[in-house]
This record gives sequence, structure tokens and C-alpha cells, in this order.
Amino acid sequence: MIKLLKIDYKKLKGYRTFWVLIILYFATMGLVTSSGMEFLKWLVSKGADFDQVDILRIPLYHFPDIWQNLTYVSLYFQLVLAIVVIVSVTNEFSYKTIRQNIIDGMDRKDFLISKIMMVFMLSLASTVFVFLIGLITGLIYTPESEMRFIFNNIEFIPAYFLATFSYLIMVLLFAIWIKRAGLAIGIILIYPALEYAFGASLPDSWDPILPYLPQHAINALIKVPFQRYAFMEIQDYVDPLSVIVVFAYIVLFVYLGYRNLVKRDFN
Amino acid sequence: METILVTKGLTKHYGRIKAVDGLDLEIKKGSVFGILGPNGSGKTTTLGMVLDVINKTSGEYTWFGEKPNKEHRKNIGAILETPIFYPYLPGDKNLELVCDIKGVDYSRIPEVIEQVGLKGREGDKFRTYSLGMKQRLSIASALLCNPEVMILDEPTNGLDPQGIAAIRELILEIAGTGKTIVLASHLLDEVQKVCTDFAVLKQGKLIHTGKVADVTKGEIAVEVMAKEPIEEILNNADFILTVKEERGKYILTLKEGTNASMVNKLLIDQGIIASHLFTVHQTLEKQFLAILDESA
Repeated sequence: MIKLLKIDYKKLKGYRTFWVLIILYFATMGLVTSSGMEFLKWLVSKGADFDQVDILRIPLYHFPDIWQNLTYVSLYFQLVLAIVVIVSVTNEFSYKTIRQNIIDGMDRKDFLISKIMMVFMLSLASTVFVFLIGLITGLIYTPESEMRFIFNNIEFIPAYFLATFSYLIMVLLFAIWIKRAGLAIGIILIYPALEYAFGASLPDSWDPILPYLPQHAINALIKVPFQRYAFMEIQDYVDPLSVIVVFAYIVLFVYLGYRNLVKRDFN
Repeated sequence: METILVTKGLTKHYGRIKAVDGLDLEIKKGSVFGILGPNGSGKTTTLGMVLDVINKTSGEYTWFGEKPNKEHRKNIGAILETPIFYPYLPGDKNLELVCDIKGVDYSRIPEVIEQVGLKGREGDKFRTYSLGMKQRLSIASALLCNPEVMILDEPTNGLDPQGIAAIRELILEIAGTGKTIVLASHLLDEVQKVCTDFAVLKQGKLIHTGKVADVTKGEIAVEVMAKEPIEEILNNADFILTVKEERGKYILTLKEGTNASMVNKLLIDQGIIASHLFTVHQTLEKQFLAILDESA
């Protein structure tokens, strides 16, 4: 497994687009997620009025709120990682290197495992990064009296990992199915909208199946946290049902990707 | 003799098209096996199936007498059609990847680079290579694992005459080390020059298989030319069966057991010195065309 990961890393290491995307990803995500308070200050300095509410008192970066807030926002940057995954897979088809890899002695399963390992490492790196940002900004902004909540709600960190990993596995499947980078990127861009439109078009009596749709399930791992600052009820925990559904989807996606690769002829 | 590759009834259908149709082949250890056939006769599809990049429709094949698996492919150096590498990686990094897949030590890389004559260019990106260099790199990559078997599909495709000669030389050199080589080609001259055995495919079917030496050993004619008129002398000689003139050359067919030296002697006895005397051997090309015609 480690050998397969090393092989895939070697393929990416010399590829400039990979580094551009990775740097872009971490830089923008790091900058945006850590500057929330600065953004609020800027709003206030520009004279934004929030009905007498002092928005600078919103505990965005206070433990334990920070874990859900931060992971929720960070998920929006996944798209950049999705492009990395798509390019890494579709290149193998357009250069035909997957064919030569097989001829040289990889089998289709090894190839898939090497890509899954790559997805795993990307998800892990992203999770570690988000955790560090949370830790650092939390330590900066949290008042002394709330420091004891530092690891409350830390379950959002593994949930973030799961959400990223499962999403990228779905992207991997799309890349294997579609084979072309441009088309695959287009489809993963519109797919969530399609799934939500589909969900909305179903009669209300079908609503109970919604959490079982893939994008719904992945998104349900970390729910929008911000309404709590307008005194609304939110789901401030990770629902075990979503975890189970997402795991089931990971297995399904991997199986579908495997089946597609095994049945394909590489002419 | 040990067999390297055996196929039994190997078949590939693409919809209604039978790209390979019930192919039975046997390739022995140490042979240089040429697979011949017109374009689209199923050569590459056959090699694709035994290398597991194309799923067979039916039939079987074995490598080294065993059920095929990826470990076999790690001991096979193969290139199918065009050289395939990561264009953004330098030549040597591409070879490192092949080493990683095959489980070969990187120390082999400088050796094979040297062997194919790419020294000095291994650090350049693959996409900057000329076609000849790309072919050389793919042969280098096929040599990496010091393979028992090499599979080369049209290895001289698109090369200039110098490149063709260099690759041919390389194949002969490799064959000289006792490796088994499978060479798919539509260049008959190439197969005749390097192969020991050959098979002819047509529309996915095997229509002939045999030894190259058996096909090309026959001497079929002698060409002779002289300043003096010699047609009558030739016509009167009893060991010469037919005489045909072609652009000043006389093309003779001789009785069995006789050869060009007798023609030479005949002329010298008459005080004539031939300016051109040449024995025409049977060529694979003629045989190949005859085989294709027969099967039509």
C-alpha cells in the first residue's frame, strides 16, 4: 500500500499543476478561515449595522464553537482538491499511462488503491491543516474562562476528514467514469445542485429518503452552524446515521470504480 | 523446449467484429517470434490480451506454463505501439516509476540508458524527446527488469533509416543474450532479419506459423550479366531450366543441386567474365504474400 502511494506521489511530484493547486488550496483556505474576525472588524469599520447587535462579540473562534464553524467553512474549499484528484486520474487515461502501468506489472486493483491512497493523504493533510488552524485561532481568540472547552466537539475534526475523504472518493469515481478532465470538473461542479434539485422535486412524502442521497449524506456530517448566533436551534453534533450512510457510500463508490476499471479495455 | 507463452482459442470480439478469433500460439524459450499481419489483423489486440490491458472474450493463455498474473508481467519487458510515458517527467524519473512498479533497483537505470544510447538526455522531460528517442526510452524501460521475455510492437514505427538500423541492432543484441522476443510487425524485411519463428495473422485468425529459416532457405534464382552476348550459352546449358531477360539481366532458374558457381564456370569456360552474378533467395515477403493469397 505504501509502495503504491509512493508511486502515485512520484507521478504528482513532478507535475507543476499539482503544486499550483495544492498551494492555492492551502493558502486560500488558511487565509479565509483564519481571518473571520478580521472580516467582521472590517465590516464594522465600514459602518455595517446589525440591529444594535455587536457582531464582534460573536464567538466564532471560541472553543468549542470553532470546531464546527471552521470545519463547515473549510469544506467549501474541497473543490480545489477535487480538481487535483480529477486531473491526477484523467491524465492517466489521456496519456494512456494507466495502460503502460498495467503492462509493467500493476493490476487494475493496484491502480485504484494507489489513487485511493492519494485521496486519503490529501484528506488527511487537509484535516491536519484545519485542526492546526482551529487550534491556533482558538487559542488566540478564546477567553481564558472558556479554554477548558478546547476539545469539546472535537468530533467535527474526524467528521471533516470523513466528509472530505468521501467526497473525494465520489470525485474519483466520476473521474474514472468520465475520463476527461474538463467534463469531469463540470459534472462535479453541478452535481450537488442536481442532487438538491432532484431532492426538492420529490413529493414531500419522500423526504425521509433525502439523507440517504450521497451529497445530502456527506453534507449532513457537518451542518450549517451559524444560525445559532441568531438564537436558532442547530445540529451541533455529528449524527451517527450520517456516518454510517457515508461509509456505505464509500464502499459503494470504490466498488463501482473497481468494476469499471476491471471491465475496461485499454486499447 | 520450455514454452514461454501459450494461447488456446484466444478470442476478442468488439460487438460483431472479431478482432482475434480462436488464436492458438506457442512461443518457445529463446526464440525471436515475429507476429505478422496486415494492419488491423489483430496483432496488437492479441498482445494486449496477454498483457492484461484488453479483456479476452474467451479462450485462455498461460505465461511460463502458469495462470497469468501481475508477477509475470513484472518479468516481461513490453511496449505496445507508441512509447507511453509521463510527458512532464524526465526520462530517468519515468524509468524510476517503472522500477517502482516492477520492483527493480534504480541502479539498472544508468545501464539501460547507456545501452539504448540515451546518455546525456535522461534528465530532459519526455515531451522534449524526438520520436526516435521516445522509442529508445521505451526499449530502455522494457530492458529495466532484465526480462526473460520482451514484447515489442512495431518498435521501428516512424523511425528514420538510421533509427531503424539502430533498433534492429539492439534487438539482435538482446536476442543474442538468449532472451525470448516477441516482435509484432508489418515490416517483413524486419522480421526476416531478426526472427527465428513467425506467425501470420489475418482478420484475427492464425493462418500460418513456422520457422523463418524454413521459408527463406530456398535459392530460387540466379541473376547474371555480362558485356558479351550470353543468352545462347545460357539457353544451351542443360542445368539451366529457364532464362528470362530483365533490363539487361538474365534471371535463371536452375536444376536442383546446382548453383551460381556452375553458371560462373560455364561462362569462364567460354572465355566470358560475368559482370554481375547474384543468387536470389526466397524472401519472407514473397512467402507472406503467397500465404495471404492462399487464405483469401
